[in-house]
Amino acid sequence: MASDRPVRPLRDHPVLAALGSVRVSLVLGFATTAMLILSSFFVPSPRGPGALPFDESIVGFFQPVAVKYTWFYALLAVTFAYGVNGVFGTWRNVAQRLASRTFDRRFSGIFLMHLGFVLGLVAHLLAGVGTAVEGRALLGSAPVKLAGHTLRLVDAQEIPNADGSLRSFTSHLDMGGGDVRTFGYNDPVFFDGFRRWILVEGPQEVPGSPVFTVSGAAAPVDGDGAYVAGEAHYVVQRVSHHESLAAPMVQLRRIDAGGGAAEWVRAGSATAAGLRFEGFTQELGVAVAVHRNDGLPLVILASAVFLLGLGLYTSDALRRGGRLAGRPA
Amino acid sequence: MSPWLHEAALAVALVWIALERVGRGHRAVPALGLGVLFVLLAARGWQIDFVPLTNKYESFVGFAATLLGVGVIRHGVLARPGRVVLAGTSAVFLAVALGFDSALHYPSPLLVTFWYPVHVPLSFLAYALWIAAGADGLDYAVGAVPAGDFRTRQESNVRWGLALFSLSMIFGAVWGVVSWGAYFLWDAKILWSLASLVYFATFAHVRYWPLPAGPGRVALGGIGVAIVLGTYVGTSFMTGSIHGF
Repeated sequence: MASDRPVRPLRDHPVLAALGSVRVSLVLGFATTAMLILSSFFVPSPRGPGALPFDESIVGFFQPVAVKYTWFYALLAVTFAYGVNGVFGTWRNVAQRLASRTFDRRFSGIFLMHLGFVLGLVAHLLAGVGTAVEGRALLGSAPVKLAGHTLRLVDAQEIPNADGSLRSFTSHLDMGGGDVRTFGYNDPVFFDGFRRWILVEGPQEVPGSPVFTVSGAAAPVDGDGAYVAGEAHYVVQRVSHHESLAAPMVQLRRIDAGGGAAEWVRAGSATAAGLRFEGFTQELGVAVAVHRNDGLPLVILASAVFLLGLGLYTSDALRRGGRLAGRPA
Repeated sequence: MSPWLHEAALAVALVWIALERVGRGHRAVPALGLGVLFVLLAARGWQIDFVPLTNKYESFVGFAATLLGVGVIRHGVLARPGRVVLAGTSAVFLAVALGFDSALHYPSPLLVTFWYPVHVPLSFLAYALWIAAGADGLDYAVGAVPAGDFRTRQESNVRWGLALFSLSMIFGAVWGVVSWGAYFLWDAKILWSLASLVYFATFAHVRYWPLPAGPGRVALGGIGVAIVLGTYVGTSFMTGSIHGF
C-alpha cells in the first residue's frame, strides 16, 4: 500500500541527507577552521622569497601541482565539501520551510545569509582563477594607452599631513571621450562592470613639457605653437625620456622654408639654428596598475545578499530585545 | 600626550578585578576605565586628525577599551568569574601596551578611507564578544550560572560577535580592493581571520550536535578565545605576515 507521506529526497535519501546535514556541517566547519589555521604555517610570506601573487589567485598552485602546496589542496577539498554541504543544507531548509509555510523574517534572514555565504564561496573560486594585474603605467598629462583606454591625468594634488608627510593624493583622470573621473588613493576607477579597475600605486614626478632656449633665454613660440630660433621654426614630433637613455631627447622638424628632415636633439644640445633643448619640466603624475578580478561582481552580489540577510535577522532579534540566541533545536 | 591616562585606565581595570573578587563589582567601574581610554584615544585622534589606529600601541589600547566597553554592555549577563576574564584581558593588553612606543604617527595614505576605521573597531568588538563567550564558559564551569542561562548568554555573544565580524570582513574586503587591489591574499593573518569567521559560524550551529552541551560549549568557548588571540596577536609573530605589528 502506497504511503501518503510526501517524498522528501533531501531528508530521506541517505547521501543527500548527509550532504545537507547540519551535523556534517559542524564537522566540516571545524575541519575548515583547522585547515585554515594549519595553512597559515605553510603559506609563504607575501613579501618574501617564493611569495604567491599579491591577490586572490590560486592558479599558481596548479602550475605545476607541487607537494609543497599539499596544504592548499587539502584546504580546497575541505572547503569544497563545506560549500556543497551549505548548498544542500540551505536547500533542504528552504524546502522544509516552504512546505510548512513558516518563511518568516528571521528565517528569510538566515536563508539569505547562507545563500550569500555559498555565493561568496563560488565567487571566491571565480576570483581565484580570474585575477590578474593587466598592466602598469606612469600617468601624466600626456595620453597613455592602457587597458583599452587612452588615459590622461587632467590634474593632480598631493595633500600633506601637518609634518609634511603624504596623507592623500587626488586627481582627475580623463578616460577618453570626455569621461573624466575623480581618482586617488583608495578611490580607484572601476569599469567593465566592476571586473576591472585602475588603482593608484603612488604619486610620482613625471616628465612634462620640453624646455627650449635660444641664446640663454626661453625660446619664443609662434602663433602655430612652433619654437622659433632666428629664421627657423620647429615643431616637436616626438619625445623620448625613457630611463634607459643617457639623456632625454626630442625629435624636431623644421617647418619654415629652410626645413629638412626631422632630427633628434639630446638634452643639453642645440639645432644648427641655435634652438637648445634643456630637458623636460617635471609635473606630478601617478603610477597606476590595472587590476582584473572576474569574481568581483559576484563577490559584491554575495556580500549584498549576506548583508540583507544579516539586516533581516538582526532587526528581528532587536525587536525581540536584542537576543541573538537561537530558538530551541 | 597624557601618559597617566593609560596608567589610570590600567589601575581601573585592576580595581575592577579586585572588586569582582570581593563581590563589589559594578558596571560603573569598566565604564570609568572606558571613559579614561576614550579621552586618551580621542586626544591622539585629534592630533593626527584620524582614528587613532595607526600603530600597535593604539591597537592594544583600543582593544582594551573595547573589552571594557563589552564589560559595560554585558555586565548584567556575565557572572563574576566572567567579568574578571574581561577585566583581566583588558588589563593585560594595557600592561603590555605600556612597553610599546606610544609616539604619534600620521596614517599612511592607504589607511585614510572610510573602510579601515570601520573594519578594525568592528573586528575588535567581535573579538571582545567572543572573549565574553569564553568567559561565559568559565561562569558555567565554576557553577556561577545554570546550564540554560549559560547557553543563551554564550549564543548571544557568539552570534553578535559573528554578525559584527561578518560586517568587519566585508568592510575590510572593500578596503582591500580599493586600496590594495585585492580583498584576499595568501597571508597568515587573513587565513586566521577566515578561521575565526568559520569557527564561530560553526559554533553558532553547535546546538544541533547530539552530545551533552555544557562541557563541550565550555571547551569551544576556550578554543574560541585561543583563536581570537591567535588571529589578533599570534599572527604578528608569524614570519612575514603583512599584518604583523
